[in-house]
Amino acid sequence: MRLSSIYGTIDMVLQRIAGIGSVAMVALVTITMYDVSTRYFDLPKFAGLNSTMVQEAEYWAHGFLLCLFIGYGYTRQAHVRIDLVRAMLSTRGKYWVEIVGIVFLLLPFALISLKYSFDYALKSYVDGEVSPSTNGLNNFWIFKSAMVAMFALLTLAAISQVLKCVDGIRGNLTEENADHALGDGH
Amino acid sequence: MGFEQILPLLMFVALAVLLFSGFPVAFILGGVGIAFAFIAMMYDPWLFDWPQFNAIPPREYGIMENLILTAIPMFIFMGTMLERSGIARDLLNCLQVVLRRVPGGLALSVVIMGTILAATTGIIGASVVMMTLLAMPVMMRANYDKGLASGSIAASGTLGILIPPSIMLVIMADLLSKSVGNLFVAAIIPGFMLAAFYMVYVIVICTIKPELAPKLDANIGPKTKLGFVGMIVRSFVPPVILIVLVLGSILGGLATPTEAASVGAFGAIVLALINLVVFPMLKVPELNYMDDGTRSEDALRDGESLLGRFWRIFKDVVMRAALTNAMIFGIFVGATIFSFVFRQIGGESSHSHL
Repeated sequence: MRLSSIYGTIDMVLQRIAGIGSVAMVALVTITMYDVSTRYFDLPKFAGLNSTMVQEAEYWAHGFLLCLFIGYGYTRQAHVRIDLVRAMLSTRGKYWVEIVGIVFLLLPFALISLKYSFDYALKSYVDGEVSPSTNGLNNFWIFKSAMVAMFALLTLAAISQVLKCVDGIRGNLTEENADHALGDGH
Repeated sequence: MGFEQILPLLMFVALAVLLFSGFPVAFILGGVGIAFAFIAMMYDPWLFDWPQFNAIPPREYGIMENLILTAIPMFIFMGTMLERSGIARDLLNCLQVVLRRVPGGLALSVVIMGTILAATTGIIGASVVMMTLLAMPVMMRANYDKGLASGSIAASGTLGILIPPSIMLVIMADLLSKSVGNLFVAAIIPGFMLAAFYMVYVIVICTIKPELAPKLDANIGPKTKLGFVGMIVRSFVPPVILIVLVLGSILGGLATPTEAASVGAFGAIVLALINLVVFPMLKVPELNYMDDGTRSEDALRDGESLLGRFWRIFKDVVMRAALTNAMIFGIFVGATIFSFVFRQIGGESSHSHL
């Protein structure tokens, strides 16, 4: 089986999920605008929604937005790098830096966080946790699961990137995927 | 000094060295944190043990449930939307025409543009790229000195981090438990002072060495007085309204930064709709006096409706803003782990002994 089909599939999944996550951005602006207009201009509040609920919905939206994008961001080189030394390396050297970084830094970080955030969300589900505010939202485990999703997606992104780098060292990486693995103009 | 005292210091050294490897900063922070947790565990199980990892998710959760920080994606969205709506391009065009007789006029228009953009975005990056694409070809064709041209873009592009609404200040306010509004007020004078210094520098250097910035053709721009005024009103009014609305409501204590950011994001969408859909429908001519000959990716494609183009740009803006937001919060998540492990293995006491 060729590596490109594996990372191609992972990238597609990450992109789809990020596409769903981008709805959270629109939701965030809409919900906050709704909150502003009900509070400052006395517009009617629908269906028993109170301000606490709306404000909690704001940070729920933001939570999902960032959780669903951090992994995707890695496959699109959104994460900031300090490129002083790396810029002097050969393309091959850059692939090796990336592989070593993923195996020794990113994967332990993502996997440990995945395990413990899963426990954290599970506990919230078992306890039936609700908002600390008296009239806030219920089912906090849904929100806390976003963290599990974040680290699961980050792990997937790490696998995809490491496979791209392996393919890059073997010399059969397309130009577009090389940009995704090392950054534009690598 | 035992190994225990050195461990937190080693953690910092490892961070500093690894940062230069060019691997993403967010993952280095998180990875070094986890690695030193394991090193501490192997060295002395009293220093760190497995159950302590359970204390990390609640700290990360604290980032997600923070209502002040939700202002960040919306400020990013607002800035990205304004840049892509053509409003920024119109503004630069207008400034270039207005300042055509001033020494170093093109460089000066870039600095002023950077200052105005800085008051709508809170982050460096996108605005520098955009100004490079818009202003660099024009300055190159006018035979500007390369150093002056790129320097004015790079310097004024970085004003975004200082002039409110600055993302950095939102984060600082949250970490230091200070009011975002107060920090914004405090940054206004230094921010605009810096911008003013840049402008003075450009004017002075271009007066002393006129060969750096050759004079432009004085005949560009609208021919009539009315057209001239119309150009200025059209390009200055939209961003100024937005800036006053957003910063005014924060500084005046009317709205929280989160609320003001949502108003700004919404306003940017409305302005983009006007500029990208309503104006072309009313056949209002585009401001294009400094045609650089390149077609931007936001130009109307063959067979595309105006609303279709707006929708394409809008989707792209949402994705880009979300990616920039992920970059910032990725660092948050990594730094949370780093600082937690640093504290657990005694970083606080060892740095106070230094």
